[in-house]
Amino acid sequence: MSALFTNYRWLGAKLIVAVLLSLALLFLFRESKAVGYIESLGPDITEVVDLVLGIPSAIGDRGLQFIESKAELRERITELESENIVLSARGQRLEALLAENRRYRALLNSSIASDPDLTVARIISVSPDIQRHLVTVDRGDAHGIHEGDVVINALGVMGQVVNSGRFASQVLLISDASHGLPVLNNRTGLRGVVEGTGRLDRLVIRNLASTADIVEGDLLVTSGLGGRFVSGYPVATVTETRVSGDAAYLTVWADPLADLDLESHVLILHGEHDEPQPPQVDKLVDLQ
Amino acid sequence: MNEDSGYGLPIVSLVLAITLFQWIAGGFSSYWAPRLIELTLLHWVLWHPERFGIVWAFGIGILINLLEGSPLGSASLGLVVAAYFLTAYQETARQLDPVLQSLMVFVLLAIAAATESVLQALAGIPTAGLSYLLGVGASALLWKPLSELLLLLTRRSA
Repeated sequence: MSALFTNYRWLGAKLIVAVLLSLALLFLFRESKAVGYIESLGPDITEVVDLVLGIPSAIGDRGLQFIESKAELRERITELESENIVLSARGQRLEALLAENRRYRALLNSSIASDPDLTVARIISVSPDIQRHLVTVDRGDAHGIHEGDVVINALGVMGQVVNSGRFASQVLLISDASHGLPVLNNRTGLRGVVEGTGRLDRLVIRNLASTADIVEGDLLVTSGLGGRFVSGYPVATVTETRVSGDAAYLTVWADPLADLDLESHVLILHGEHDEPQPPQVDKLVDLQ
Repeated sequence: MNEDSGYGLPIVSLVLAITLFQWIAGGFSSYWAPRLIELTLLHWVLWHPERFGIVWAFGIGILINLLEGSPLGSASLGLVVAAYFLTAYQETARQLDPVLQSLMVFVLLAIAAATESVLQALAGIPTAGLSYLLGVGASALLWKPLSELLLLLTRRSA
């Protein structure tokens, strides 16, 4: 019965207030601290939902652990141990190379940014908004992750943290149409900004000079300009170059190296980022 | 038809819708994912307008923004407008046959999604054209079964 006699006197007023509040949140208070705080709850809510979704599989895993025989477990341990030995050996080789690299840089008298800290994170969800390439990872402020931290995987750069909650963070992928990343051509040193296209398998560099030396197969790496992304990480390979109709500009298409839709674990670089280096004019003069 | 079930069932159904939506839509090929949260909200607005209306639509819109990582307020505005029309014309809406009711839901969700898309574009976030209509279409197809299920649960829990 209640629906027939529901009081709708304030319906119009409520609509106006709600519309004004929505617009105010969107355009007036978007940069305010309060809205920033509420937005930082987003990743944590997503993690709670992920925990709920993970309950059935967790129960299944427990069941499997009981079923799995001791022999199988021993076999797995042996496999993992041998894998560990191989990886440790590779790690030692890498350490040696890093040390060698530091010595060369010292010889060249160039400053070097200290190695950033690495945190392994798991992708727990993908944004339901089909227009955005945004994923949530299970690491947040509590793990030392902050807005602006760079996210990579074994193959290359994946994106950057744009919103860090207490226990989870949102990462904007380099393929998002609103993302831009300063890169340089590893072969020629040519600089540019690679932008997302909204497609996971395609990035673009617009408005390069038509005479720019860049060809199919060139590797694009982070340039470190802007001080956010550490320099030298692979980003994409060039797949196509196209000169504009009036031959003034060149558009370059590239494939991201990281499998943006397949990865489940990522590495987050935090700590020190490369700062833009002031040009060392006196050294250049010396060389001349 | 309008048995009193308190807030328990609606809240449980909304939490389930959020969880399921996150699960279904959590892939990069989610253009067809039905808008389960909005559908569940519209059901409760239609059948319990004395409790669920504009304020709830606003709150759920904010929650959707938090889950999507989109700017706060962009999902609320469209949902608030949809909730307004549904509340204002609920008597007529309830008497529509299933096909017309689904069509009405399609129009309301399309208004909500289009508003969100336009607001995000104004806020500087690139949009993906009219692809959101696929999810809206899937939602309209799901409307009647979902609504009937919730009505049945309401009757059982009353």
